[in-house]
Amino acid sequence: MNLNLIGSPNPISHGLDALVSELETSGLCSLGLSWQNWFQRAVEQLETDDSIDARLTDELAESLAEAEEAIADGCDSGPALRRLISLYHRNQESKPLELRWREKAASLGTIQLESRTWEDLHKALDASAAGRLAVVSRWIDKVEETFLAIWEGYERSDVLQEEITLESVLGHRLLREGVEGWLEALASFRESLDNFNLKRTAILTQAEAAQRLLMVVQVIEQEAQDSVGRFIAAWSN
Amino acid sequence: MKVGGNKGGEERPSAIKAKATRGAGRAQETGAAPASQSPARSGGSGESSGVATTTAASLDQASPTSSDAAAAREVTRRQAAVASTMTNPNVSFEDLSATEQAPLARGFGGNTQDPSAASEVEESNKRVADLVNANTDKTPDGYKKLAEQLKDMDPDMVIIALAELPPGEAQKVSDAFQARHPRFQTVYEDDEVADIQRELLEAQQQALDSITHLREANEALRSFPALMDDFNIHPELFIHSPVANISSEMRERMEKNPEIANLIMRSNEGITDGLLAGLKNPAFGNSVLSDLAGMSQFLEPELVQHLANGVVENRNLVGDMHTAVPLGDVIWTEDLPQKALPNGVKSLFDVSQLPPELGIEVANQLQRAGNTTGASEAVNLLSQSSNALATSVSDNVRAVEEANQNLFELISQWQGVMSPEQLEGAIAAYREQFPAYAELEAQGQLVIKTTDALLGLPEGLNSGDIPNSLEKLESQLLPVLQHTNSATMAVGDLLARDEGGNNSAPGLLEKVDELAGTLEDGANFADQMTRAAFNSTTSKMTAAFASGDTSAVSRYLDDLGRHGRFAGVNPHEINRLRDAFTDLQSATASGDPSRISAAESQFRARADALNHNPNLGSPSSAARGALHGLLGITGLIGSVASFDEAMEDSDLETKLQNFLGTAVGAGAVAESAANLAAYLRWAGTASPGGPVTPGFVQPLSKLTGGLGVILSGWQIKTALEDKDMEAVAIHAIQGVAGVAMMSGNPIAMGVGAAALLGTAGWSLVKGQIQKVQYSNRLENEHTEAFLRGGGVPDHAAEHLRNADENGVTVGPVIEQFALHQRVSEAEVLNWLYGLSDDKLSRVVEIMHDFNNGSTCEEMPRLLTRLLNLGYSPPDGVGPSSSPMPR
Repeated sequence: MNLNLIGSPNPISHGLDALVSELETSGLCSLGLSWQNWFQRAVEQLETDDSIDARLTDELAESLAEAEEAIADGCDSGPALRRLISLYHRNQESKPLELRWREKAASLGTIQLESRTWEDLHKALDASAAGRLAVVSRWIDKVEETFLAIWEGYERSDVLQEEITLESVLGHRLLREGVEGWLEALASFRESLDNFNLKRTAILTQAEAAQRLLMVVQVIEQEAQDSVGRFIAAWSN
Repeated sequence: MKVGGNKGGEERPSAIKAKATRGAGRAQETGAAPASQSPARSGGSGESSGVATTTAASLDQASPTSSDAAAAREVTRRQAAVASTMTNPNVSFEDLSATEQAPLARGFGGNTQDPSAASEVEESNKRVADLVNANTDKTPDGYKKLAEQLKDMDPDMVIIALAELPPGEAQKVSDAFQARHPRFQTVYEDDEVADIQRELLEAQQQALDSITHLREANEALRSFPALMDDFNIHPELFIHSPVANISSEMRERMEKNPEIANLIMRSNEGITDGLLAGLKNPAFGNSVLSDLAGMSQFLEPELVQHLANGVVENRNLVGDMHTAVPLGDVIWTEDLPQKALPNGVKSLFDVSQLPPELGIEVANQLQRAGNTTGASEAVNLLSQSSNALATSVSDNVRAVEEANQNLFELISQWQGVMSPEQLEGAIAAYREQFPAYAELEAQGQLVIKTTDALLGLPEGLNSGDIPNSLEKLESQLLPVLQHTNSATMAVGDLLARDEGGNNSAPGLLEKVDELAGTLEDGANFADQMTRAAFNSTTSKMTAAFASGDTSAVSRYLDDLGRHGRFAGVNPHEINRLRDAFTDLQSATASGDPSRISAAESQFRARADALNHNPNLGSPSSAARGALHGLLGITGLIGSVASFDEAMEDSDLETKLQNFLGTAVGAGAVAESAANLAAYLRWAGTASPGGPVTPGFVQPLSKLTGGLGVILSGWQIKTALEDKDMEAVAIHAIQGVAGVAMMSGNPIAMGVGAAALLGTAGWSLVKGQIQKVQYSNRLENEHTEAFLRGGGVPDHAAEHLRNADENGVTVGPVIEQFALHQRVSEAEVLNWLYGLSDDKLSRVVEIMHDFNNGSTCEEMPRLLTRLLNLGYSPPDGVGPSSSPMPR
């Protein structure tokens, strides 16, 4: 018997991701007096995240401990933290691209999920609960039509031979899954209306998974754009 | 060369394929921008431009092995643009809503829906709307004509449609319609005022859902029996049928608006028949039947009789219907003993909260009739029911005590920041998070009454498993007395019955001494029983006082005197107190100062005699505390002509001190008396427009219900204010607060909740539980509910619920910080509420660093830190340079 089918896996903490991100963007001071909490959450991720190999886990933990000791002793924690960040990125780079992107999708915050379609879905669910079935049905039709039209336009667009890389294929896959997920969520929504049995939670769950994929495609592109910009700026200087 | 070679669309994912047909060719219509193409690709796909190209669709099949983000930039940019357009399309729900016509068809709540009914409603709505819209004559004559047109339509449908019209229009149409429809005339003929018309509109709104569901219920109830016969379906399958949900909903709606229920029932004979069809069918189980029985409480007599006639045909339903008082009278007295047994017995015991003494009566009647088998069955069923009750109570007690531990922590952390009203709301919101509180409250009186009934079983019936059942129930007596108000009031009910009860054998009251000798914590049990007797008497007396029935006071003292033995009190002493009360009342009415003075002296002497009874335990026993409340209130009632006068009596505090000083000791009672007087004034003056929130104001009778107990509750309140948690726990263990909460007084509510924490809370305060065990224990949705209930806005509650590693939230720091800043706690809270999420989160983290001890000495550091980070906390007259004493 596959016991995993019975129990849900332990959720992976993203404390280390958050710590590195905070250190890179705002520096150590931004952690404030609660830096120990940040470190603690980072350790939690090290304990639960199986995607980090054992040796690297030890090294990361060691860096954290060194940094913690340095801070507690009033010494310079910079070297230990720089090593921590370096090790972290080494681990990230060693992960398969798809795993990294999907992890990123899963870790998007609620604010990052916000978009007109997402907000409209909530409004439509509220409206259907209030009996405004006709307008909700029209909205579903419109969104479906829009999605399909955009998707078909995209599918017909040209791709050069040399553009077919891991990144473009993966982007395509996430995009396709996102579109498909949204259409399935909308289909469930329509079915709910037809059956007079609104399954709000199920619809939102379906749509959120799809929304994460559509949003991560944009986030990744934005990050790539930022890194290109930084590169150009560095080159210019 | 093309890569992949698939044409777009051939390998689409299923959802896309399924929708492709509908969406085909609509790209132009929707105005959705197709994915952009770079100028280099303007030649389209293929090799015409000399560059190897394919379409994006082919990426489904591509299997590249190399990573090259730069090379893929154009495609990934396009993919992001596609995702962006999809997540932020031109289609807007708001735009669609703006063009939406006034909705006429309503949504349907509940679990079961009938599409055909919805369609019918929609069609009817449209017809009515068309007629209304076509009516351009807005004069009374115009509406009369419109009503003529509506006359032949189904009145229910017209009601539904009217509910959807703008209120002004709907009222005019309904006015006209009422004048032409006899049913409305019947209901509303005696009342033509505008208020009723407005109520009609509200009723119409409710009728919408009610009618829909009643129709469904009717259909379902009619069809289910036939279905079961046709297909030989086992009845139990339908216990959790959709009909159960419908009937439950119907009952809720009827409770909210009995008038509309009667209106619907009277005008829909088919519905009544449908209900009866359901009643005759045991398949629907108790869930439906008890709901239907409950409904009958709200129906008019002839409808009840109609239902009763149907019920009489089916003996299995007798028990269920007995929960409805009107039906119970009909069936119990005439049919049950002779016809309904033994089949009816099972139903009797399956219905929750059925008075157990009725079960005993059934067994007795069976025994007397020579039906020993039936009697045994009745007793066995009662025994099974008791076992289940004891198990459930035990689980709920455990759950409540566990929840109380955190509640205790939250109260201690936030009681200095929240106002009494806020604390009351917070506690109520927290308790709502745990169903065990309400369940245990409902079970408290059942435990008392069932135990009493089992103890009173006559010889010959108290055999079998009864002793075991009794033992299990007896073990739950103390917990329910400590944790529930209903148990206290149930003890009051036992007091009110005749000596010896309805049974020849003695019941719970008569066996308190015996149980005190056998139960594990027997002394505490006896103390609690006595406390319950005094408190319930006090509650009844004060309620009667508030309603102007001062004569009831003597009656309640009589009840107490009759059962005084169990309380360890000499019945004669209670009777003497009653006489002293009567004299005091008479003297007060005479207005003769010397007579009043003499009567007061006599009352004090008799109160003193009662108070010196050694059987009441130590000075801090629950029973003695409750007695003080009883004496104080009795004296108060005797010394004023009316409750209103008490409200206005400027000497009230002196009088209370006078009476209580004798019983409790003058030094200790002064503050208590002042508080009681303040409470009485508050109870008399609180109004929705005053400083108290509308939801907080309770009916006066309820407010005064727990008045006397506050005398004991004060001790907890004072201890809380002094942060003497050990004292809080001591008083909590006394269990006085259960009834204190019943009063609805904000302080008492808070005190009551704190007191209900019991021993677990005490242990915590005494440091017997390691703090680390509480780390993050409070960081949960229950804490958030507590804070929201206390008035903290949603966005702030998400942050303020966070606890530090010791499990302490920022309540204590806020309290100390407010003191330091010389501003109110509310000002600090308002400042926090105004911060953005990020900033609030940061401030909460910083405050956590000052949680340990959170003394005033640390507050300057906190202020400095906040100022250094650019925050501007509220400031009274500038930060104090030295710690502020509390």
